[in-house]
Amino acid sequence: MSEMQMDASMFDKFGVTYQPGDILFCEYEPGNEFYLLQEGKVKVTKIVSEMEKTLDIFHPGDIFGEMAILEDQPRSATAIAMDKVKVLKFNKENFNLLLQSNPQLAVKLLKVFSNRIYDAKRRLLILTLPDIESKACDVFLMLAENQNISPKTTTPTTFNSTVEEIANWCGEKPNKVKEVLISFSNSGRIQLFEDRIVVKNLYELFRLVRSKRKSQSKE
Amino acid sequence: MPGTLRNYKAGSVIYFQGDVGDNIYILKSGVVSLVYPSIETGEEVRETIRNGEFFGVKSALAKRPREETAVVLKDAYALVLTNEEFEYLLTKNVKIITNFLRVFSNQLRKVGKLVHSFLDHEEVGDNQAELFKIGEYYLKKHNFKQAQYVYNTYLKHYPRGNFVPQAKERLAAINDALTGKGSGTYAGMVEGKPAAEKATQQPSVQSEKKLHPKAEGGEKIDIATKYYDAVSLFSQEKYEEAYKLFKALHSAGELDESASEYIPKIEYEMGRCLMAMNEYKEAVLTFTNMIKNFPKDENIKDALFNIGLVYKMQGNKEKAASFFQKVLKMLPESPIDRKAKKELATLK
Repeated sequence: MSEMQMDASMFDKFGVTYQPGDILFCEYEPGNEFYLLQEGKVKVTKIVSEMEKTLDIFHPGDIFGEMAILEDQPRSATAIAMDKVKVLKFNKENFNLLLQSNPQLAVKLLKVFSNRIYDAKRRLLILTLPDIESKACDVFLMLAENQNISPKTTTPTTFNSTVEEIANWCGEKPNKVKEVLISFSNSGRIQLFEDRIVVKNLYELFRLVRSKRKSQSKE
Repeated sequence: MPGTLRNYKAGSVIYFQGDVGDNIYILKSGVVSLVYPSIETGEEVRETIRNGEFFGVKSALAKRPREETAVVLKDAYALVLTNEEFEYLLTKNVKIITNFLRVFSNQLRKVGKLVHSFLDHEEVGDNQAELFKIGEYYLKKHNFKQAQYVYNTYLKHYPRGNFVPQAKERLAAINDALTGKGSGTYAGMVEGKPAAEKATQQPSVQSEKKLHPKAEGGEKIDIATKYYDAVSLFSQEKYEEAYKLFKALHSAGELDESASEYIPKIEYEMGRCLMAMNEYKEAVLTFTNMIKNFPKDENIKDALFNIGLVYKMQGNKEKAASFFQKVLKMLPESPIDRKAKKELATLK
């Protein structure tokens, strides 16, 4: 039996259908299910300073909402159906059944978790830096890594991020991060736009972060 | 079992930290140690693999660089699997999947806790208030279906929450709007005016300040935001626009006491804009005024330095030098001192 056929028989038990525009779950909603998208597209959005921003778009075969089975935190983003959407919805309780009947899906979940661990560790690396300046620099480096941009780039690099997002990654208050970014802008390191930030020389930030880490490990 | 059995000599390395590779290993005999820096302290950690144990799994599955170096301590045999072979093995042994899910979710929890320990200073958000605000956002945008979902979710999870009456009012109004009754009750309630006066087809949020505590004191935030916008314009080399905005902010700030902290900064930035626009006289005048008005401001030394630069650009070496010297004499020491020294050296 193919994966899709198996999913079809599982749809009776775990399947849910949504119409375009329907919310599957919303930011701050408590919940402990994760989803396997079978049909249609789902966008994940977050409201940042009174603007709804799309973080990701999921396609059939993708898993999302999986963090909810790990922690008792409410959802960190909103999932909205972009067209007619069919999903399988699982929780801790019926998870074993899924494992037995669809191990491929469980392997996929393992991959998602592996990547999440890498992402979380990378974030931790930013947070362990001693000051907001180096944290902000490292956020740009992380964002570059995510886009497969080399940290040794010396030509201007554009990031579609706002101050609030940078502040969020730094784990610092937006006002403080804003001050730092303003000082970066004054010294010509970055250019600030409403919806994006241009880093003039990524390699310069890379060297700054590297020397901060070195002096930290000496202490 | 699929895979290739390989022999490794004591002292050799199976893979290095930072390597990219999609092989997964099962230790059959001998001793292998994983060496990596602790994420908490950065100190080196050594972990010995037992016979029958997997290693290299996470990096292979995630297709990311290895996090550890695998060192062979005693001659060893390991079964080497490709990613595909490993996946095949997993689907045949669901127990292995459950084990790895347990291991990975423990690791993820551990890292997650560490991340949160760094975020402790963040204000603990009130989840129920934040959930309600999501509804308000959608309502304001007239996304009624989405707002409806959020308010219903709110009532379901927080039946005794602080915003229950508001959520119920909003839902009733959305229902009217969606069914086309348009009694306008919603607008009426919010404005505290008779419903007839505000009879609209669609609900609208007009008293956001009451709902969003953060929006209060909005004017101060406004100055901060606009100041940031002006600095952004400067960084985009739109000096004239930046100057205009700074100037407008300056006049607005003089009337608003809460904005007074921004005045010296704004005056300093206006000087910088004028410099960039080659308005040298005006620039010197602006910096001089700023120094007079705020002799203790943190940007004083920078302002003096900039005046020096302007004189230098005009070819007035003597005056330029006197300002760079002023910078050097003034305490506390700052990064600008080095620049002033450099400039002085070029003048000689």
